[in-house]
Amino acid sequence: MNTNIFHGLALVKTLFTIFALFAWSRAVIRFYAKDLNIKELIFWTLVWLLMIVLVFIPGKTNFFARLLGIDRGNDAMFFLAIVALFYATYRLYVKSNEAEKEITRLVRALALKNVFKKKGKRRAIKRRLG
Amino acid sequence: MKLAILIPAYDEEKTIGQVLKKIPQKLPHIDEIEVVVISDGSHDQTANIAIKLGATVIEHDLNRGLGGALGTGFEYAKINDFDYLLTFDADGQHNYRDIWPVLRPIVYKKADVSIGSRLKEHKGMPWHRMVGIWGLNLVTYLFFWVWTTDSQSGLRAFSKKAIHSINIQANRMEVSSEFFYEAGKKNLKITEVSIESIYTDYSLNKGQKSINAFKILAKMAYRRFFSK
Repeated sequence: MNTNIFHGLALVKTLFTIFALFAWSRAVIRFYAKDLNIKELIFWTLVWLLMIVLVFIPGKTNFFARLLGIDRGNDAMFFLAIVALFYATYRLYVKSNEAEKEITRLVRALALKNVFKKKGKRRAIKRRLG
Repeated sequence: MKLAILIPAYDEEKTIGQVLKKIPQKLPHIDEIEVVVISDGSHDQTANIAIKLGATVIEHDLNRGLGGALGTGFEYAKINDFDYLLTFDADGQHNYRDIWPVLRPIVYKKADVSIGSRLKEHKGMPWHRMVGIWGLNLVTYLFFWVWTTDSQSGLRAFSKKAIHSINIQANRMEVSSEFFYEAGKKNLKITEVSIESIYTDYSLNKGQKSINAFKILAKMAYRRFFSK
């Protein structure tokens, strides 16, 4: 076993474990704040537990990586992370677009309620949000 | 027959007065003309000037962009059962004498959508503006399968069928290209009429910057492939 890589990975494992424990603690807080129910808490606990366990097993990602046709487990992880980031960005873009449209619908509805007409009387505006 | 002339405006107090004064009060085959100014979150006197000059004024509390303003105008026309709709720029770029030529094909039922094109015969347009417009013409064709010589034109007329079937989703300037997409999708007949473009330093500054072309491109791609 190459001890240099082992030392590097130990740092990553430690940092990741700290992060995982932190994320898990946030789930616990949300449970007590009634944002999560007990089933969800158990689910997230298992998820983070699994993540910590996986991080400590040596070499398991290499197996999956070879399935994907990529040499090293680390490379596969990076690749997957980038794909996940792309997807997250796409979802954000979609949400942002939808939010803009909602704002416009609201501004439009308000504007159409208060139309200034020369003859002083406003025609009846049907309530329709486009 | 009732015609609505939509003038979307964002901070156009310098030119809106002149534009409104020149709008014709009578047009052939039209019984009633209502000028509708849509102030898109203007911070200046645009709305007040328009009210004083007798226009119908609809005010957005927030700036939503050209698409947002036109969408509101279309909604107003739908609710109030207009027969024809014409869009006209507030910055003095359009010649009021081009209104009837653009409207005519609609009135004579030759088309559902009539586009005033600045590029059928071009004079006085800065070359970089022309390149930008042709670029967007090409993209409009590739994405929306409709060819036009001026995809960015602001002087357009619509029949009642078009008023009721066009669904405007875009907020900002990509709405110009969206009209072609909707027309193609809803099987509306499109025609083009040559119009004059009046270029002053003022209107040139207000127009689209070339770099916006990429933003518009991205939004057009989204509209074409990802929305309903």
